[in-house]
Amino acid sequence: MPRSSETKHTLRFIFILCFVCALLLSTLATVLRVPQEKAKQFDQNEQLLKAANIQTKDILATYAARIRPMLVDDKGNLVSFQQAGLDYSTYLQKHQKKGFADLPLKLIYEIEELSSKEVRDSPTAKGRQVPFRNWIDSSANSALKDRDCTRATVHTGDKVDGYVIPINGFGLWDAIYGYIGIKADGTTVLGATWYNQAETAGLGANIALPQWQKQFKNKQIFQVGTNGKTDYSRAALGLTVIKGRVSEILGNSPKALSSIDGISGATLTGKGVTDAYADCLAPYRPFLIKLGDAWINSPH
Amino acid sequence: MDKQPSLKNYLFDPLWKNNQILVAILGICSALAVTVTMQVALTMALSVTFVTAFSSFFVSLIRKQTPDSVRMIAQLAIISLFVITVDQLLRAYLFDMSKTLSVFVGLIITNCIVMGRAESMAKNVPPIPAFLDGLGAGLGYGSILLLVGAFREIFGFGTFFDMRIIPENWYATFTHPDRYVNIGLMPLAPAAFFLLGLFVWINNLLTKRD
Repeated sequence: MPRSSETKHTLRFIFILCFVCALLLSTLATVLRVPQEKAKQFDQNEQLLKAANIQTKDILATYAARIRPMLVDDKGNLVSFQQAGLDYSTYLQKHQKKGFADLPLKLIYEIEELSSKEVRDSPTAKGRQVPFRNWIDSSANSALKDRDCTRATVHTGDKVDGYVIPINGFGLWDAIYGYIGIKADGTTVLGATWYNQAETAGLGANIALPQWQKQFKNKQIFQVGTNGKTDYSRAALGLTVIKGRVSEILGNSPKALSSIDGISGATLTGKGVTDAYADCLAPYRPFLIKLGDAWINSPH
Repeated sequence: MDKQPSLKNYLFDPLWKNNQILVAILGICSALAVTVTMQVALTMALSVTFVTAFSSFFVSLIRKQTPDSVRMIAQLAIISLFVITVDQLLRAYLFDMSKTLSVFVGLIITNCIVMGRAESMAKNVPPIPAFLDGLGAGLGYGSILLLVGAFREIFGFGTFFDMRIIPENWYATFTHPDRYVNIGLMPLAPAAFFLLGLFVWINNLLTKRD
């Protein structure tokens, strides 16, 4: 075969091969996009429920029944999406990448108290209206419940178990996204998860493992003072991933309640996680302070 | 291989006698990384078998048209096609597994076994033997993965496919510190290295080589 025709043959071969492969792959990607999105969303909801410390088999129904997206303004007041005139899914799509903490209206998820009736009655609860409410509900819910009995027909589980705050930050390689669940007292952690990360497999990626995440439970995001009390307005806010084990390094000091065991070999990921909590929780401080005040003043 | 081997030989040869991990010491990287538990090892084994079998088939199918100068690129394109297919399918239907395996699915492209089979076998034989050879190589690789995974999961976690094998009450507790403890080395990569070395040794003992 003469040289030029050989080159032509090679080029044609490569072109056809690449074209066929590309065609097949793009078809596959198009066909699988919907199930992939679904799987991702499902996983994200599951992680949110884990952060809220809710164990369930029926993730979609429980999510619909017990988790309600809300907004927090700069002064720490709770605003519903309806009041703010925002659409949840557009809001989510627009700000998902950069996180919600720096927005004037920040995303937060309310965890409704388990009410068996509601789960049975509205397994999807899609068209549910978000009733008017503000932060005060969580403290004086019983009094308000009686007064606002009209909205109880829409939504029975009026008591709030806690809140889930979306967290984002930067790990060693890429952005990391997660959730942290906080009890209604505004400081005790219900759970924490990371649903999207690309850290080093086997090292930093361990932040996504339940074995590591389970130690978050009952930690305090407001550092407890030396007198054993929490000063919500002044205490350092966040959770620190330390080098080594908390029990060995900090022992019983109040700091231990706000510290997490580090993962050896993943110091930078740990630093990213610490920064993510500090940066994302700080804008919620006014809201958390109100929760704390209400908690202290309410009988429980 | 001096004389024409039968189709059966294509399939069974790479399972043990010519096992790619044990004899050619290929695919070690992923064998270390994804054999911590059985479930992960099984997914990886099936994925690699799928990729090796089908890429061998297609490499062989176009072997007469493939210009020699670009054959490796062509093989890589075909291999990538199947690897991405596996990756996309896992993402859609086994999301948790795809999160656990993360980059290792993508890294099947660089798994020497796939390329090795394409280069040493598939480009020289017709599609059916090439497919069987790829299938055998993948299964051979997968069986070693599962074997290593079984050892690591049972001795490292006391479970098998997440089912408890070693009873809970055998374990050492605060009050009975002298009881059974999981081998802490097993979940770590070096354990797979030792196990693989052991298997290579056994394979060498059992297979008479000239």
